[in-house]
Amino acid sequence: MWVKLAFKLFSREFRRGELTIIFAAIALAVLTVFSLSSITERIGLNIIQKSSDFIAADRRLSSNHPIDTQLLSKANEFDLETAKLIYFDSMLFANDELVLGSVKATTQAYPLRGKISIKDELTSEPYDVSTGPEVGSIWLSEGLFYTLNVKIGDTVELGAGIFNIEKVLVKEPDAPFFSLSGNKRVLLNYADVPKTKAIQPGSRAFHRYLYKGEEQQLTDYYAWLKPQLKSNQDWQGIKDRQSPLGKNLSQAESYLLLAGLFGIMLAAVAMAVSAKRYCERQYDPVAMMKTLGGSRRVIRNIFLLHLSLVTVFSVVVGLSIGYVLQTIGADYLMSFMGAELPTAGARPWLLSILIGGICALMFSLKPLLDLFDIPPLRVLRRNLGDTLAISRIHVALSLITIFALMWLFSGEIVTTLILFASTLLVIAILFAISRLLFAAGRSLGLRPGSSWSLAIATLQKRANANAIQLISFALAIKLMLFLVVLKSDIIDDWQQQVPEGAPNMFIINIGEQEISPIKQFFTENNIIHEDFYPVFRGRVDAINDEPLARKVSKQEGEEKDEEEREGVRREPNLTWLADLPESNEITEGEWFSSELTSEDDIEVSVFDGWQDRLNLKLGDTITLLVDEQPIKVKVTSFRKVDWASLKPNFVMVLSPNMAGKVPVTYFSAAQIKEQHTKAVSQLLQRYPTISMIDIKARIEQAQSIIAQVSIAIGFVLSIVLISGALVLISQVQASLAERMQEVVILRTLGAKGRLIKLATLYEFVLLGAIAGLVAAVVSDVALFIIQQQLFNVDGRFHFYIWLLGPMSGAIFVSAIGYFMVARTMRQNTQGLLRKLG
Amino acid sequence: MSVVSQVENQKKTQLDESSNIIQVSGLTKSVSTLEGSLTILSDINFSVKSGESVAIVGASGSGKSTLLSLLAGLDTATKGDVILDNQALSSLDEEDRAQLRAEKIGFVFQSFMLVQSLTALENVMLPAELAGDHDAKAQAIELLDKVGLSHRLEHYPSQLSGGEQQRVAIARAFIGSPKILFADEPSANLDSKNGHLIEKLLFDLNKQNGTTLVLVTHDEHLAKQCQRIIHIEGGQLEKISDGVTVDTTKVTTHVG
Repeated sequence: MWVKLAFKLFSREFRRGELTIIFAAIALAVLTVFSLSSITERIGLNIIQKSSDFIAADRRLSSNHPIDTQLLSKANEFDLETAKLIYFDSMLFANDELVLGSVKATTQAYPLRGKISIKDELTSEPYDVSTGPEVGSIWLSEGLFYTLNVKIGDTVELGAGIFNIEKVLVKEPDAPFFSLSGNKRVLLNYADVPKTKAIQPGSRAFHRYLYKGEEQQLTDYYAWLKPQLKSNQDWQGIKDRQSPLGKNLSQAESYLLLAGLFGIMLAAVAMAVSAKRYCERQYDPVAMMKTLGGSRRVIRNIFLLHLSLVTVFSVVVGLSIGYVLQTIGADYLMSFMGAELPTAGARPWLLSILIGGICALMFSLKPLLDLFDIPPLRVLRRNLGDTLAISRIHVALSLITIFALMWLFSGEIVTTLILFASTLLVIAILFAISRLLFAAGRSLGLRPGSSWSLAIATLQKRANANAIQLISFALAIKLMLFLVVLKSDIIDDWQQQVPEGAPNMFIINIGEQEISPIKQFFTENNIIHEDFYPVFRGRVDAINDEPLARKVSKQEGEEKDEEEREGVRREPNLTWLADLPESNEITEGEWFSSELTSEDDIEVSVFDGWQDRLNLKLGDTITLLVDEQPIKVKVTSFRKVDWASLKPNFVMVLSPNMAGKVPVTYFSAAQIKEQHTKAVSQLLQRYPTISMIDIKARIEQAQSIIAQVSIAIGFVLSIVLISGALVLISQVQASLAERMQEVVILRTLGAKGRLIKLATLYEFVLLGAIAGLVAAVVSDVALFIIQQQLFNVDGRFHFYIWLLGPMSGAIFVSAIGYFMVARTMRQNTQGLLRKLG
Repeated sequence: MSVVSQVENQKKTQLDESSNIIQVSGLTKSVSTLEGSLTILSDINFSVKSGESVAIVGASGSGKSTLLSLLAGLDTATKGDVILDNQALSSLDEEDRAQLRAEKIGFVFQSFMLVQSLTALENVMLPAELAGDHDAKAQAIELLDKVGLSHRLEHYPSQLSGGEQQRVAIARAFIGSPKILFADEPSANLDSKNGHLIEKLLFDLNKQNGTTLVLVTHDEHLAKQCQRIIHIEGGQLEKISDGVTVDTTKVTTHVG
């Protein structure tokens, strides 16, 4: 039987190291995919969990109408935990003081994710709890204690109910990041809502159901829920939300995805080259076996068994190393983040086994088929079959496979296409360069005998083999450069989001006459502050005189009307500004002219997200209801708004000629340091109507998440860099093995070791520099596109890598090459001759 | 089987044994090149009796290696045919020709052609294993003993000298007791001492096993040790001469 022979040949080939590179390539693919996908998945899950804190749940269902309770009870059948929330504004009364508070009433289960931060006394330290107030109790935010002149243990009237003030409410996980009612927050038990009699038919209240559970159950529940959703009901997960961190999270995910893709590409390159090399080295044995009467079937079986064995073996080793690597990585991340990382599911295992298998099969298929076709006549005509060496089919098959693997791994066609196209570009450029080198070198007519001329002669002679090497060097360098640069860009961007000296406190509700004393206060205390923006609230009432449906109770049949102008459910904060805010960008139309007078029409610039929601176009007239007073404004521009910036952003900005037409309060932001705390509380006591929103905690939270994600990205980057380095090493090694014969001949002919070493060094310096330069240029182009397409930031060029690429390529590649050839030189020529067989 | 047919079969076998084991008729090989068709071998006719030793000689590029490749079924002829042990090679596909080589042919090459990842013993056993015979170990050890390498059974080719490697190749050629042995410049890569040793081994084993030997060489001295010498010149069969140990009773040629 051939099986015994196959096993014998396999074990010998393995021991001789013939299979090492192919084995290493598959193992590398498997371990890269496994460690990256499991780390990515674990970090991703952790990020989602963390982000879920921001909505206090995994998913939520919101509506400005009461939601059918059946929807909530059905959720229990899906093993989901639920909570019920209702938001409304109501008057608070105590000590003859009357204030409008923003009430949030919650069931006991709230918050499903995250914690509520409270204080026992105004002066004590805040701590976290997992449930809201009990029936009969009420928690108030700090500002309300001052305006109502109350303390813990006092009672307060809310609507028609009387409640015991139990705690100071510091922070809820899902508190709106930027809200002008931020400092008059009230937390109440859901069961106490009827006591307030604040919710009457027709009163404005906002309803919300919260859900928590396994991803699958949430998906199943949503599948059940979706057909029953009304147009005024909104289903949201963390990723849908425009939270300031949403952008960072999705960028981090994209980065991890890219890193994984690059790992796969690196391994695939190694695999494609090593499979071909392995098969070529088997041409003689196969020709011999055929000559000795081995049938095609037996030879096919032997090598297919080899491939299967090496695949299984390398998948197992790859998984084992990958498992260890990701465990170490996860432990490190956990100790740094101080958080438990959720365990990844079966996906990384299945995905890495599948990708290992596909790599092994697809990259070896054509070389193996060529191998089976080797004519026995090769035993007499030694070069027969060498013409098969460069096969278009192998290249095409490998490219298709790489594309399929990338798509399979990412599930994203656009990203895959961009990366793939830039890879093809590298290949095309490098082929052209090899051809040019070949043509140019020929006409140079260099002095014989020098290391340089030997190096260039070798480069020319091996134009085709070098093209393949150049491509694999350049791909490895390109992928590494790409990830290094992208990482520093992302992290720079994130850090700019919360720059040093950024305001950490919003000051709101400032009356016109309070502006100058507050400005003076800031100056006296050396507090850096921003401009004072006029702010007022208004509701979109009609567009082009067509009233916007906002019925309190409406019939099923009327829903269609609302769908047409769906999505405006709240009174946005409005302002007027003479200049376009820094973090905004006009997408359509033009910013207000400075020549508008009070007689001119009032113009408005609208957030482009509302353009579609309200079905708006330039020139439309919006009727705003401000204090029940209709104001007509003309849409003259749409803006992109960077909600990620920790700055006040407005959905609608009106032209400055709005000034004086409605009553407003003013808004500013300042950086309040520790030493200002006392002065600030004095200020608040002097002007009890103004409120301060502390966004320090938010900034710190953002910074901590950014720090964690940065570390995760750094870790993933280092895995890909190690893979890249391994690919480079194996490529240099492979190319050196092919050079052995020349080295032996030169050595035999009496060439000095120094000449050979220097020639190899120069050759690799040239190869590395060319590969590095092409890699730098192409990765910069790819970066430009990827940043725009995937990261939604402005693409930019990084000219420093145009220098870094060739330099690092030349140094790295030549160092490995020199080291290896020097090692070869230490062997005596006879030994080398023997080795060549 | 009837007695009559048994007798007929015996007669036929006796007839086969005494008749030609290789029959070459009108053998022509052309290849197409950029400049048009190039004829490498043109209308070669000869036959070789069973047990005979024949040398094919000629200058480099005369076509002698092409002739060997056609005789062994490693390549296919453009015209004409080779009949090996009553089987016309032109009627066989590549698989059948491999099968035929497995059963009836042994090879010795100029460049030894040992499988580097197998030991001397395993290299000798390889043809038998490819043919599905797994009891070849004893025979392989015996053959290696005959070529004087019983102490090198577990050595890999890279650990053996050129002469030793070629001795392994000779032992491999004789495993499975092939009817025909093709040797392509078997001593060309060796020094004269080792070369002579190899040549002696080849002829000794050939004699012992009663194998038909077809030897390609440009070495006149080596050629003369064969019973007949086929001279190839420019792709044509120039002449057939006798070697030193010629036994004319066994030779029948008909050059066409």
